[in-house]
Amino acid sequence: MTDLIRLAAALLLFLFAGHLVLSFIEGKGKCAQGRAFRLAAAYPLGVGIVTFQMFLTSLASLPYSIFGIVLPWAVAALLLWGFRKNFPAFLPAARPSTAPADRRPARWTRLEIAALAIVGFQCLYVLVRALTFPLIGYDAFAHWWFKANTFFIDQQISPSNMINGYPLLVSLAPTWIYLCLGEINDQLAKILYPGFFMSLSVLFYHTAKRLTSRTLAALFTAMLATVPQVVRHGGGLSLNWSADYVGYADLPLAVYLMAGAAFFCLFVKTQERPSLLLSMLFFGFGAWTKNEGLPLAAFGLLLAAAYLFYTRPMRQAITATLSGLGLLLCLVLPWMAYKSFTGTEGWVSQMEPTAQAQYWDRLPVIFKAIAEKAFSPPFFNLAWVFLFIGGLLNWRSLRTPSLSLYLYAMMALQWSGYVLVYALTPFDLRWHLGTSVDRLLLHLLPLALLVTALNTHDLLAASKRAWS
Amino acid sequence: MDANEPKPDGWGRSVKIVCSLMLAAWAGLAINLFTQEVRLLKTTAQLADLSYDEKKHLLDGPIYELVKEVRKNVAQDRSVAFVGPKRFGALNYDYKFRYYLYPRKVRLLKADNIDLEEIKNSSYFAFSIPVEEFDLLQSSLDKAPLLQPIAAKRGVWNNVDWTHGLLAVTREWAP
Repeated sequence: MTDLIRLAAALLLFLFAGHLVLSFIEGKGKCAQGRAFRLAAAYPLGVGIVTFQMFLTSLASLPYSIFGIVLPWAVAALLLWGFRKNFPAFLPAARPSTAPADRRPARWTRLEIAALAIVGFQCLYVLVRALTFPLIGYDAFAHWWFKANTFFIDQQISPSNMINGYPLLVSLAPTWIYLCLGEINDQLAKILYPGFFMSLSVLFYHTAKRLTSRTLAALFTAMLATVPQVVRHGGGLSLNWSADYVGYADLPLAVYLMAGAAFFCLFVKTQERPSLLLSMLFFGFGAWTKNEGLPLAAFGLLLAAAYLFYTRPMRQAITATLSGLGLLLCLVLPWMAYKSFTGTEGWVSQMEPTAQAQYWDRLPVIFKAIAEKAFSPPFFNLAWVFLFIGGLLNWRSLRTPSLSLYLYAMMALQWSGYVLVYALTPFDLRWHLGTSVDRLLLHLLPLALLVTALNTHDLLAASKRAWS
Repeated sequence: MDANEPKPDGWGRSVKIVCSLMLAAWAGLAINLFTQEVRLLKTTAQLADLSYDEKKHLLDGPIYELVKEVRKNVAQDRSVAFVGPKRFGALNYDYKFRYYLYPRKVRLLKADNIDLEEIKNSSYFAFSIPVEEFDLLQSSLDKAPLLQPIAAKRGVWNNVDWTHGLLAVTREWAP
């Protein structure tokens, strides 16, 4: 029982820190509407910011302690509360709706209730499943959570344990939980992953609802929550070490990418600048989660800049782009500098872009492997099939700047990066593809389903127009 | 109205039918997932009474028993040279051994290509392998005579005869 209280306290800091950062960036406005959406955004934000704080703490040669990690957040909360009378409460009470009766949300339909019941069941499943068994996954033992153990035992990060130069978010998050528990208990610390699963579901639902309709949002969230690969990463689907991915960095990266895209979509809808900053912040934490997050952050900034220069006066566009760039650099540069100074470069640095011809020969193998995994129902159900069907039926949406185009561009840019890495990989290509393609597909899966929801919405709207 | 032009109500109906069919296909495939989840939840319920340590033993098998022996006998500032199985997810055993034993320094060796210098430079030598691989290990260790047994066990795990052991590297032999 004591362990569970300590575990809840550890998670509470993530939510609290995330909420503080969210409120600080939002200022007087409130771009993240709704309790569930705020909590879903606060969780990954908190995990990102607290682990980044732990990294900086270690750079300052300070040993980890609960007091040392909580204190800055307590001070920040007091300062925010003191300086801003309108500092929102952690869970603001719902205000009674003043909207006219005909503008109140419609009653839930049976389809929506069924879809959300499925999401609820899946959330419960991953929670029970993740918390019932200790760590199982291969990479979790080899890299991510091994480092968590070393950080907890050493009370700081150490260059000698920097395996492969992977970023530290996924390793430092369990370290914080171990600090609160007072011991290493990977079974309890696995709660981080159901947290990411739930956060992803809620972020997806609210974004899809904002961009399409409540019914489509509920249906597509149910689809996302029933993608086998998402469940494998959120709670596990097997007791086999080669088929359980709890403890990996891929689900958290998918969440940061989804959150970054969600807040960018909010920015396009509302034109509120804090949404753009939050989008960049999430992309930055993506880079702090996994090396693959670095190009994602760069592409996120690139597309945001393209949008800004297309829609805003030059001066405003430059200012906003530079703010986003500055935020990203604040998150990325310390880790890059640390890696450079301590010589903990990973295998990415072993890639040598020479002898171009043989890399072209690799492309068919790469595309075949990607297609085999993407269109395999035991991995992704029909998510990637629907993306292509929706894209073909709704190709007109790509002719003009739209959110669909933004999401497609994000996926295309990131995939071009992945294909390039496979083309240059120093490892055996088939082995490299076999051990990673399914995880790379997971990173972009929420965006693929979101764009499919947008396509479906457009097609249904077109059919209604035709009807009338 | 042009007779060749598709009727608007037909188009609308078609879109809805296609969407419904796609949803049905998804739901049909998701049934496999739910079946798997329910089966795993039943297993979970059956194993609910096990302690954390017992679950670790269930999942990690003989390697976890060896880890407990090492934790009991080897101080945290010492090093251990370890030989795991050649198959059954060999690297997974190696990494698990290292995961559980930090801050002890773990040197990972291969049974068919043991570097005796690595053993000499370690405080302890440990192995956890199928019995069928033991002969290979034995022939390599014949060249390393000064190993003092601390713990050894043999048993069956997942229908495989398994053996593990922990040995101290004596000072006379070590540099």
